[in-house]
Amino acid sequence: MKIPNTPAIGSKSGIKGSSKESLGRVLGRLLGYLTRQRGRTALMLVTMFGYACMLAVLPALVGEAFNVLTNSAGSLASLWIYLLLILVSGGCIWLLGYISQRTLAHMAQDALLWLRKDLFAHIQVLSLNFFDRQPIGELMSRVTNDIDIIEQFFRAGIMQVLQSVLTIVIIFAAMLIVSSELTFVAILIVPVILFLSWLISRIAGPAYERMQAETAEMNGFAEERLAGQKVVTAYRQQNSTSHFFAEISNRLCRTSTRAQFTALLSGPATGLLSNLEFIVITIVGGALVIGAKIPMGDLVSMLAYSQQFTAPLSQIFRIYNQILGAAAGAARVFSILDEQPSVRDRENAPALPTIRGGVVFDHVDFSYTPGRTVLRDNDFAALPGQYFGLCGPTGAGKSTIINILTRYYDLEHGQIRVDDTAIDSVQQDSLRRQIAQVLQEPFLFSDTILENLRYAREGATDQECIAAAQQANADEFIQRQPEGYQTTLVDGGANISQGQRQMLTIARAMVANPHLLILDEATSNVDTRTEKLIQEGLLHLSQGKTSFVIAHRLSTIRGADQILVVNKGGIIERGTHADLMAQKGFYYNLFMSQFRGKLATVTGLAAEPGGAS
Amino acid sequence: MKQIKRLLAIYKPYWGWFALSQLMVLGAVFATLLLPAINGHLINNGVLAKNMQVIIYYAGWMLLAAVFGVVFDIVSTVIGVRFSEQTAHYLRKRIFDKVQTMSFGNIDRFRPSDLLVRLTSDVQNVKMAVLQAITTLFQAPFMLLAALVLVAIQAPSLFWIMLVMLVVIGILLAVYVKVVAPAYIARQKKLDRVNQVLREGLAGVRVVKAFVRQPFENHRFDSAAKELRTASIIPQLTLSWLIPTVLLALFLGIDAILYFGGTKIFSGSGFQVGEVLAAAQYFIACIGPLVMLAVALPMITAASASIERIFRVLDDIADVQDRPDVRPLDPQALRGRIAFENVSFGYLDSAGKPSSTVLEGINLVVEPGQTVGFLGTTGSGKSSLVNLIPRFYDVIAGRITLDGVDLREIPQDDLRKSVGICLQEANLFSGTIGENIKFGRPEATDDEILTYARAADASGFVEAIPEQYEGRVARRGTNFSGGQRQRLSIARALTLKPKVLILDDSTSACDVSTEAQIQDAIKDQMQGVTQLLVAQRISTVITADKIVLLEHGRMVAEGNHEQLLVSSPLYREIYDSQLGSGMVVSAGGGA
Repeated sequence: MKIPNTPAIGSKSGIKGSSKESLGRVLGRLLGYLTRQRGRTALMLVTMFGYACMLAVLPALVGEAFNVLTNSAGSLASLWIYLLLILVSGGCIWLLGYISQRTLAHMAQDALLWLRKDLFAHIQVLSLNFFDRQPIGELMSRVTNDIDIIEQFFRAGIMQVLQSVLTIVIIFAAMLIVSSELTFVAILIVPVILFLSWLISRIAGPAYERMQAETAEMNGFAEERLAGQKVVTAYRQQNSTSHFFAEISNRLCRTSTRAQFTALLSGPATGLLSNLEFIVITIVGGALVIGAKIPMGDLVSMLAYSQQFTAPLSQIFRIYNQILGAAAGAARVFSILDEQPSVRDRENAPALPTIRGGVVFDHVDFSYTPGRTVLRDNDFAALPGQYFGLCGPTGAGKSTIINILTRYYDLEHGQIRVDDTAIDSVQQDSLRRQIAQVLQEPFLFSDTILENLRYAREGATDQECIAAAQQANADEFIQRQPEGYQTTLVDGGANISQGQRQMLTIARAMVANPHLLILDEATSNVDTRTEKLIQEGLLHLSQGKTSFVIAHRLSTIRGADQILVVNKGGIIERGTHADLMAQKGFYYNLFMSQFRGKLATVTGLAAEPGGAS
Repeated sequence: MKQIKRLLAIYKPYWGWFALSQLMVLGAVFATLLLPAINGHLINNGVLAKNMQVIIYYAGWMLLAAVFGVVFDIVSTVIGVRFSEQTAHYLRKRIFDKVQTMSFGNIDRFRPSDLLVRLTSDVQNVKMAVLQAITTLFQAPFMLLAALVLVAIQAPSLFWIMLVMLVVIGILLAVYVKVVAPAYIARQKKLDRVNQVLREGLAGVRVVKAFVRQPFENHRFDSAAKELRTASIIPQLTLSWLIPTVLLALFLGIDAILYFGGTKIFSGSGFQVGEVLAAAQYFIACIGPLVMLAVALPMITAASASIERIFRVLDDIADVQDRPDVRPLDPQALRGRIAFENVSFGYLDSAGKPSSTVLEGINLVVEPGQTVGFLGTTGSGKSSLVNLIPRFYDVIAGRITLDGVDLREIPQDDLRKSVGICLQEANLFSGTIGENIKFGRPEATDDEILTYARAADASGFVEAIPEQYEGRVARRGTNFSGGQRQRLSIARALTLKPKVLILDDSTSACDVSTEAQIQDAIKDQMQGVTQLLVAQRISTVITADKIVLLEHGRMVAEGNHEQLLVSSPLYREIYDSQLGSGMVVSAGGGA
């Protein structure tokens, strides 16, 4: 989780929408999610096509009806035919419209479901270095925000776009059938609109990118300050913080206004063009009618078509800002999905066979970021069943040793072997399944106590879980909970005490019960009775297992078979507690500094009978 | 609805602009409708009369209408965009400023992550809705109304058809809103659940990986996401019948116009084709705006929930407030004597009632210049106790005095100028290292920064960076390790030059020898400063003038290390469990 000693350089490489990915490619990929179910897609397209067709037929019918009206031979009876046809097509439009929009609604929601699922599943697969790069909160708010924006577009905008595109195609065909001369006039507008949209996207695109960048900047600032709000309050910086935020927000407001406006300008612009077209068709068509080249009714339907032809275009442009927004959100989501886990199984890597628990670090070098070596030439061997203690100053590399033993990161040089098998030659999952871990932060899930215990091993029986809880000294307090093992933990265990949470994580590791144990001692303080229970639990847990224990209190590892003293990425001393004390080196100083010169009184106390037992 | 009204109240000073924008929308609508109207004349008097000049004449008028239409459209878009962006800016500022006035209790209740959602997603929702409300919401009603007027003028006998149509569409929309609004609220609950699973999955990623339970997590997320999908589709499904039904109603209207118009024409009542045509075209012209309404409505409904959540933040009242009778504090004359007199404390719930007692019957005097350590288990109330001194929270009973003055009689700002606290969570901010160190006293000199960085044992790693104190701190200080962040935040507290210094478990991520160094350096730098140390480790407080032992919110022992070893069995127990029975050292491997 921490990247020790990384100098303060702006190496923030969080997820950013890669602007290199073109708008079309991103939208295409998003569309891929939408059209994943072929049958549904086909149904939606067919019905929507029918819907758009019927919408296109309507003006023709109205036109024909007017032909009847203007025809001197027309009668109410012949009008009735068209009235009926209009009614029937109205019914068809209703049915087709309902089916297509309903189907699309299902497609859109399924697409969002898959997108969410893919994203979550993928994030789970990513290696820890991905999480090192950005705080969980930032990742979280970004993921939810981006999907939100996509959903906004999927709610109604997508239908608009699809319908518009289909309508344009159909109307074009219909116009050709009615009058090829007028169609020629009508499509004159297309290159103009295409040019216009190109022009606008050239202006709006960069403006949108700037807006996205400034939005990210504002969100980042707000995220950081809100998380550190207590510091701001404690150091009386509310005014300056407020002021700073107002400035950022104001800047965003201005950029955003510009971006939205340029994007939305395309709506009125295409509107004007379509009206111009309408006028041109009226003039040309009027001349044709006068010249008796086409009947009156054709002009009427042509006029209606020209409106129907351009209306969808301007409708697309009216929600152009939504399209751009969704594309930007999708680009960021896809950039997470495209992130490759840095630690990968080799091809056809076998599963690690059941281990006995021997661990060898063979001249291991490691760095989180290339060029900044964190561990240098770490070399040690643990026999099955041995208890290894790790100690040393903060940032010395203790946690790193654990991180690479579980293969959360790959090595730079050297090899780690478990029972003579190099860990990078086997499946990661098979390795981790054989290592029980108790992490520094007792993280529990909002689920029942029993399910939290079972978390360590799928398929563990209730009896096994309860037995583990008993071993970890957790059974007693669990029984005292209102619903015993079925008590639901809220908010990661906020309804039980810190010490109880620790005991549960120990019990959880006990359920896993493999031959290798990693324990990162909690820094939090619990009452001495609980502490004793925890220590006992740990003792039970470590029995018969090769154990690696990172100690924050040296007393935890005093009885270790071997203590490794880590400093600045190397093992500087090793041996039992007694050996190391006798050396009077680093460990000795570390140990003595705990007493801050008060050891005399301690020794004095020791002389008192019953002072300690 | 009430919340929307409150939001609208914000616009009072700008209602002229709003009126203008709607006038423009109305103008654009009229221009759009004028086109078919003029077109009708053109066909009647030009095409049917075979007169090209009349065609050109009316085409000119159509052009004029089109140009005006686009100008109106642009103006209303400009106003819409400005309104929506200014609204976003305004709401962001209001929310953020509100947070700045919050006390710790308020912040605890609203969680930073939720506040961020208010500031981002919710504001975004409102913004989009405002834009839609201005540019499209009234377009369709205007269009229908304008069509109504035009039909009344051009073809009064067809007027009633238009009227019936309007009523039918109005009813349909009302039904839609009624169905969809509760559906959005139900959906929000499911979304919250998805976010909760997401948060747990991300925050617990180490545990998930450690036990290889990705499939399980995926399964959990899937079921939450599926429920969200089920809830989300309801508004969309409602929309999928609404639009076709509105269209169907429109076709019926066209049919009616043709029928009644046709009957009149055939009966030879002198009814013109052009009039019937115009009426039909008004109907068709209404389709576009009605469809756009379908885009606008879901956005506006979604936004009303956001508005409500935003107002919940804005309506919040700070727990701790300055009383009108506060008297300024003279920092020069301050000695730094702190006294707790029978203090009880509990965190307030959202109703403003203490939920449970965290501290009870605390009586304690800290003399000027003394160093007092607080020891106890997690949850024993140590942190709560020291957080009362800068008045982050108010006591429930009893009082705390600084140099004999009740804290509640001192302006918060003055108090915090003299009481420096290094909070448990070492939050750094993006900027330079120097800026972070002088965060609380921006006027601090470079020399001071250097001095205090050295005292906090931060100078070593800072000076190893090429840019030194100009080096960048990434967002949230993620480019520093936990121990480094702690040391920088200690330097930040020291730079305040406070009269009372509180270190709330600020060296937990540093090893004991570093901690000892820092403590010695602080002692040198901060002579005469009252120090309060909260600690998990006994070694942190072992040299303090006084150690206070807390258990379940009560003081159970008080005294220095030597005294407590003798007088307090609990202290001895803690000492034993943490430092081991010290004599084993000399007893060697005998254990």
